[in-house]
Formats: sequence, C-alpha cells, structure tokens
Amino acid sequence: MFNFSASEINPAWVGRSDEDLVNAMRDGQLEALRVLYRRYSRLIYTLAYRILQNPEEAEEITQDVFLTLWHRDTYRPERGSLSRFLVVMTRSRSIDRLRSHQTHHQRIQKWQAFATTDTTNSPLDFAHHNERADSIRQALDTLNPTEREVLEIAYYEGLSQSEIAQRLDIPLGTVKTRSRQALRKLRQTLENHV
Amino acid sequence: MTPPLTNPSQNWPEQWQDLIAGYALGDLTSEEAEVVTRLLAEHPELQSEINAYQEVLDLMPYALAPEAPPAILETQLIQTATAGVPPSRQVGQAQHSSQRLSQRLSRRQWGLAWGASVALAASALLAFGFDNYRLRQQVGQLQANNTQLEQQLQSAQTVINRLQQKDIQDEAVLAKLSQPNSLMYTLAGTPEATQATGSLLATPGDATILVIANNLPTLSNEQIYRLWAVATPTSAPTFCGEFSQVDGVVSLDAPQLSCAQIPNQVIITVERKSDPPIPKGTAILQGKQA
Repeated sequence: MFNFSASEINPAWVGRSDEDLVNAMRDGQLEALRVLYRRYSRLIYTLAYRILQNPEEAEEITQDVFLTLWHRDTYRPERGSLSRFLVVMTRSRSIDRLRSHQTHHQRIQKWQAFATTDTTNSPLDFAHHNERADSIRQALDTLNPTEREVLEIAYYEGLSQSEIAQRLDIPLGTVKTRSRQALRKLRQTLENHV
Repeated sequence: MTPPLTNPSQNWPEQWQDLIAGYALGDLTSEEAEVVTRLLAEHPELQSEINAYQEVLDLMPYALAPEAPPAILETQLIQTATAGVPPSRQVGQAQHSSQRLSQRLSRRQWGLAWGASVALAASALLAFGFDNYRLRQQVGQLQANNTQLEQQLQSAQTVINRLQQKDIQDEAVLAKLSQPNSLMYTLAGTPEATQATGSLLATPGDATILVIANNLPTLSNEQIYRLWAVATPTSAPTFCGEFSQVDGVVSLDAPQLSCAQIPNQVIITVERKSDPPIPKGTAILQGKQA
C-alpha cells in the first residue's frame, strides 16, 4: 500500500519527463502524481489565486485539477505540453467559479479550445520554470500599461471585449486595438527570447 | 532545446497578424472570422502561427509572483487520490473534493447561523432592561429556530453531497452521450445476479468506456469485476478493464480499442484479482448490441 507519510520522493522519479510521469500515473503510480504535483502545484495555485483572490478556493481548484488529471486521464501529449493543459484547465475552472459567484449566467468566453490546438512543436517550451517566468515578465513589461491592463482583465477575469469596454469606459474598438496590439507585442518579444 | 517559433522570416502581412491575434483573443467579428477561415484554407501553415499566439496567452500566469499552496494540500491530494482507487479510475471518487467543498460550505453556513444567533441574542439582551418576560420568549424562540435551522442545514448538506456526486457522474455520462457515434448497451443481470442492472457507454475510437451499474453482487477482498467485449458471436472475449465499485458510474480505460468497436456482446464477470485476464469467473451482467 502507499505510504502517505513519506514526503520524500525517490530521486529516480524527479528527473523524469512529464510524459513519462503521465504514463506512470496511468499505471496507477502514485509517486508520479506526487512529482507532477510538486512540479506544477505552485503555478496552478498561483493562477487560481490570482483569478479567485481567495486562498481556500484556490486550494480547491488546485486539488480538483490534479484529481482530474489522476482520475479522468484526458491529457493527450500529442496536443501540447502538460503545463499548458493544466494552465488552461485551471483558468477555465477558476473563471467558471468566479462567474458563478458573480451570478453571471453567461458562460465564459473561451479564448481557445485546448482540444483543437496542436502545440506539439511548442515554441516556448523552456526548460526551466524560472527562466520562463523571467522571460514572460520582461515581455509583459514591454507593454504599454493600458495594453497590459486590457490583456490581463481579459485573461484573468474572463471578461468579453464589450464587458471590458464597459468596465474601463472606453470604446470597444479601443479595447480590441489594445488587446490585439498587446498580444502581438508579447508574441514578438517572446519570439526573441527563444 | 525547443524548436523555433514559426519561421520569423515568414512575415505575414500586418493585417493578417492583427486578425490572428484577434482570433487567439476570441474577439473577431463574423466578417473577420470568415476572412480568417478563408486565409487558413489558403495557407494551412497559418495554423501554427495561431497556435503560437494562443500559447503566448497561456504563458501569462508564469509572470505572476508565485504563491505556494499550503503543504497539507499535497497530503490531502494523495490521500484522496488513493482512497479506494482500484486500477480503473472510479468517477465516483472525484466526489471527495466536492464533499470537502460541501463541508466547507457547511462550516460557512454554520458560521452565518451562529452569527445570526449572536446578533439576535444581543438584541434580546438590550430588551432585558424593560421586559424580562419577552427576553425569555425570544430566547426560547431563538433556540427553536436554531434547532430548526440545524435540521435544515443537515438536510441541505445531504442533498448537496448527493447532487455534487451526481453532477460529477452525470458530467461524464453526458460527455459520452454527446459523442455523435456513441454506443449504449443495456446490461441485464444473469441468473447468478438477478437484481443487477446496468448500462455501458462507449465511443468507437475512444478507449474510455463508462459502466453504470446497480446492485452488483458484493465482492470479497480477493475479487474484482471485469468487463469483456465479444466482437462477433464466434470471437473470444477481450478483456476491457476491471473495477470494484458496486453502484454508480465507473470509467474504464480499455486496454484494447476493439472494446469500443461495436462489440456484439459485452459481459461483466466476477473474477479473482490475481487471475490473468481470461474469463473464468461468474457472469453477472450482459448486454447485446441493439
């Protein structure tokens, strides 16, 4: 049986790739889940906390995301990286919950369906989380604050362009221009980091 | 090292870049969406550019100041993940987090009820100076209200637990049923298990099979239920997964895709866990292609 109290992970597991770990998890290897949790829980919790602004709910989302990975087995490596799969799931579940708090019945506008996206040749699959974090921060810093604001509201709050226009009291056309411009800049900057 | 982004020298026109960014952001007008559809048909290589934009969006969380979840969460996750989980993944197990949610909800509701009681008691105390009798009446009423509230909360929590469990199960069933080519088999109990009933949902090409079972015979510690598919009336049964949940929805990952390829017959047996995947035990449920 599994040893719950042992918090140390066998070093042999630590360096294994996400794909290896997912395969091991499919064979019921609990240690694989534990390694993946340690690898990504901080990212998942941070994102859920950013969206929900509530530590208890961020914990629940974090646990749900990893339990879904364990129980449902819906991740397909050919469709993209595990980290992105987890980020997309976390964002979607967190914003759904945020919306339910706000009694918005309108479903969140999903920017992209992960299932239809092929990210096999992930251009930005950096080796280390920290390196990635630094690059993204620098890229975001290159944005004009008004552009960044629009992009962040859309991403972290799941508001539609017209809702953002209403919130910021600016024309819809301006929201579109700013967000598209922001994303193009971000894409351009991150391209230079590769 | 990572493969390069879409060839940077492939300079798409400005207007295209703008449309692709809009596509990734989900803010295209219907006219713009038509243009993008046409561009994609003419230049399929644009798809990788769209993917790159979408990926960039999902990198944004990396820039957040990292917050660590409490250490206890790992222990809770591992305990929940392992709580009675057999080799197959039991959909019902996912209810743990929901239970936790309902427990938390319940704690919040208790908090509210307690807060309300304190507020009422405080106002009752204010009245004490001029009407002790009314105070006693109010306190009596308050206690009655509290008992009633407790009972209501307990009933509500039971309903919440049931609904949440059902919701998770329904979600998996509905997802399966929504597949245009999904197959459903009605399972009937054999003479060895006359009370047992069930259904099986499968989609050709998808290894996940859902079994919805009721009143299966109880297993001993050494036993397990196994699912078999019989492709044609003369084929040997193929092992399609095993589980130990007596009631509810079970999600099985079939080792063979042929399990979901419109088998002529599906059978559930009770087997010894230690036996190889060859049907030897007692058949308890069976269903044929409609």
